Amino acid sequence: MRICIDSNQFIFGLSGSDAASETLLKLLPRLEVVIPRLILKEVTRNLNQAQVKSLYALLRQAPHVAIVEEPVPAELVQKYVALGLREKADAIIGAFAEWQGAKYIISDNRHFLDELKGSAFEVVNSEEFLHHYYWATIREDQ
Amino acid sequence: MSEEITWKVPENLYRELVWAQKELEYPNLADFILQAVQRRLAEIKYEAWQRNFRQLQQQIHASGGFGLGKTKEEVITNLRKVRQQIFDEEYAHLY
Repeated sequence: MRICIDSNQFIFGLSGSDAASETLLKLLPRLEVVIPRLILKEVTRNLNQAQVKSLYALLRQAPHVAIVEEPVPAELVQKYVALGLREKADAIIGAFAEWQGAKYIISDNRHFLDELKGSAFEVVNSEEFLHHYYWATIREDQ
Repeated sequence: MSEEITWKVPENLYRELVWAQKELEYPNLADFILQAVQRRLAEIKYEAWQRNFRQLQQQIHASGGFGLGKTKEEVITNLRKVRQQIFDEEYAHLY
């Protein structure tokens, strides 16, 4: 199950201010994750060089985490503007998730939930993801 | 490529290994040990990753955090501004 993790989850998880976001990040080596460069730029903007290096090293060491450099196709971005994400910066993230075949965007950004209708993926927060999808899948596998 | 090793083990450990191999229905002892070692290596890698993650958390905390606000709402609002800023600077010309 491929997921996309929004910048707010990285901030909450790395700062330890939200237990579910922190758990989500600690599971990164066991998750299949796609992250657009835009999200990492948001996360690293206020970090120093050594911290940025450490974060990229952690992401590289997680075997199924991919940082995607290529720009999201413009027509998909337009599609997500039409689906309700009026800010193109948000539409890029929605379009990215569909483009990369992500099943979930994990985010606390209410704009995704409130504005987006008819997307190819589901937007859930980290607690919902862990409770309903991740732990449930683990239980099914056992 | 593979390396051949000779491994001497205490007799009681050997007996336990053979018992476990049969119990778990592995075709032979070598396969069973190979998988056990691979699993342990994966655990060690995972533990090392967790340690590095905690170290990064401590470094960020020590340097004053992300500076994006105290509450969740403040952080999300400020992150939206950051997203828009990066979009205007680096992506707007593409879309």
